[in-house]
Amino acid sequence: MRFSKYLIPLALTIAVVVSLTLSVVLWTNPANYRTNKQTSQTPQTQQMIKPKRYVYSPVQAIHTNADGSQQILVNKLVNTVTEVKKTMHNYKDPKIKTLSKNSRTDYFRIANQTDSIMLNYSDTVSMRALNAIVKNRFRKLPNYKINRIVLPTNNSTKLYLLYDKNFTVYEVDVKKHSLKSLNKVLKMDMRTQPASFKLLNNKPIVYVTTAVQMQPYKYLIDRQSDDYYVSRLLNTQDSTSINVKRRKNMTIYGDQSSLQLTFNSKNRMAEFSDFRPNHNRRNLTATINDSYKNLTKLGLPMDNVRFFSYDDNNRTVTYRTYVEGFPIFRTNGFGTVSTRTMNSSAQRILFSLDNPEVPLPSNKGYVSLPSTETMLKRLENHGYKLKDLQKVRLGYTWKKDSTSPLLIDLNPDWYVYYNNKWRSYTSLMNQY
Amino acid sequence: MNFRRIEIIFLVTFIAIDIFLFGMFKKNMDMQADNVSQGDSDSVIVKEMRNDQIKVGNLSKKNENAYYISGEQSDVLRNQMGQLANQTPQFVGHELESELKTPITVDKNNPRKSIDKLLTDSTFVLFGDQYVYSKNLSTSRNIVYNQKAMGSSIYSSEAQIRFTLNSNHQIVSYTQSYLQGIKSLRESSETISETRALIWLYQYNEIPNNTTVAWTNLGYTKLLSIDGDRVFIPTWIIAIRPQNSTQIQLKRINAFTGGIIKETDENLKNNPSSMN
Repeated sequence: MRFSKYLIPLALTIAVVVSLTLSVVLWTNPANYRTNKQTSQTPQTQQMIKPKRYVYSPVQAIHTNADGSQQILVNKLVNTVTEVKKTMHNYKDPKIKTLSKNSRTDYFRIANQTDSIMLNYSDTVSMRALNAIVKNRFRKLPNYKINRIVLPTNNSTKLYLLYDKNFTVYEVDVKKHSLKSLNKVLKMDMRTQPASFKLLNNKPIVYVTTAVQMQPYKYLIDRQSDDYYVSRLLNTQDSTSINVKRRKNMTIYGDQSSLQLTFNSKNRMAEFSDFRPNHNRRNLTATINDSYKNLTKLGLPMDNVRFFSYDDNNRTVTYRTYVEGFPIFRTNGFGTVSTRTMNSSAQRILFSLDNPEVPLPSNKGYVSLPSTETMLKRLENHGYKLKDLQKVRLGYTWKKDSTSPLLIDLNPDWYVYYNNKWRSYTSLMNQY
Repeated sequence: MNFRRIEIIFLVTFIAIDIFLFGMFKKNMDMQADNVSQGDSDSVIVKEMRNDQIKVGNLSKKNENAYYISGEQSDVLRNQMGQLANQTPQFVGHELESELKTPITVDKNNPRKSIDKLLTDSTFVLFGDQYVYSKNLSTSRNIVYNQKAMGSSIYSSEAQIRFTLNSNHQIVSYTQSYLQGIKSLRESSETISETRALIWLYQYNEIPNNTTVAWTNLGYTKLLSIDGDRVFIPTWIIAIRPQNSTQIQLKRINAFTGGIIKETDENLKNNPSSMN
């Protein structure tokens, strides 16, 4: 009796409070004022925009056997990294802990553990980039910086994340999941290349332990006209104010104040300068996000374009086009796109107007490159100081084809980051 | 208890208001979700297409995997045509034209079944096991088989067998073209989905109103030729048929880039001689 006496006033109070809160939420939510028409907006342009998880993807997969021997999984019929990534969608209840820090022994013990696949990013990324690959399952994990992912092929509750700079190892515990698909990837049609993962000048790198066979390629390029980029990038409210200046092989388009687009017809490069205020953010995740936005704005073909490196000092993010899992380098060391934030009112995007599109049959046989050890020794004998050498990569050299301006040749070569510049092994050896 | 009654009336009213407000709140959330998700904008366009009296069946949203592939035009058919029995083969411009001395009767309702069996016989057709029946290209008097390639098939007159039937359901002759050494030029990559391909075609204004999308197929079509080599790309081949007509038009969408491939494009753009 007593209870029912208070029931009705109580219920009434709750009902009034609920209706008040809902009213406030509805009135303050701007979505309320959107009309339904806006949802059927015009679809995006025809250019294929690749998602973040495609661009910020690991670029190399290394398998460590039961006996500890290691090999790079080279793409042949399938993209090995993509296949491994496909198996990473089902991690449940991830929990992360720091296993060790500043210990090289622990770092290499985890990295080189038997029965595992290691996915290598080209440069440091943040947890957010990895989160995009694992279908958002890692969204609650702290935004650590990472370089490598180690997936044990015989332990379904653990994976490891490695950060090179201070040799940090993170362990991620997940709910038990099937490893069948991961092991299936290893049986797919691919080429393998014996390798080992160790230190060079105190930085972990992948050594290739035997001579490498690589296939030269011929590509048909996709050549965009200047107009395409002018209309995409300079198309602000008053397009009448765009002026053009020509100087030798340079054409400079600009609106009156804040945007400038320069084309170099000789080396087929373009530079877009944006002097409008920007966020000027400094941390890795934000820079990568801003850079990705700029990349998609360009409208350049993004097929096989991957994140290559991030330079902390000048906030430059570079992207390269990959062939068979190896990056392409031009003679000046440039790749496909680089974006750079100078200050809060200056951003610069450098990009290539020609990009490889269709591979063509080539009857050239495989080319043999020396192992990493041999290559380094030869450089040393040639008078280069290995101390100044920071990174080593297998890559392809971009060369114009002599028969047609629309064709390029991609020749395999070693690339080393020497004195802050990417140089090819061949060019270094020919220098003296 | 007058006060108690008023209380009850108030309670009922407020609960009604709550339900209404909650409904509105939920609708708002859906609307926001609409704005972000890309899949929904796709279905909006498909709806638009249906409003334009374009008949489309169920479309798949699945992205497939495909390759750039190449094959070589060769004289292998000419070199091996000596082994063909009961026919008079002729090799004309990379095509083998053959007339059967005695016509072969095939199943009236299902000619495919009979021909599939015949194709395993290498004295009847060379490399017969490398071809697959194409329902879409075949008619009752003209049965078409396409050459297989990397888990799909090639839609090209340069890699095809066309059987000609007479009115008695007998094969009287056939034409065969063959590409040798079919291989992938690069590892597989993801293609656009069937829905996306159709939407792009619609947005290029290539599907007139009042038409039916008869069929769509993902196959390889020729992108360019370099000397004897042919380069093929995965293509969404979309057959559209104006209503009140039986004429079918084929449209092609590059399954990697989503660009439309015009018929005239085939040799022109990338012919090495015209590029210099």
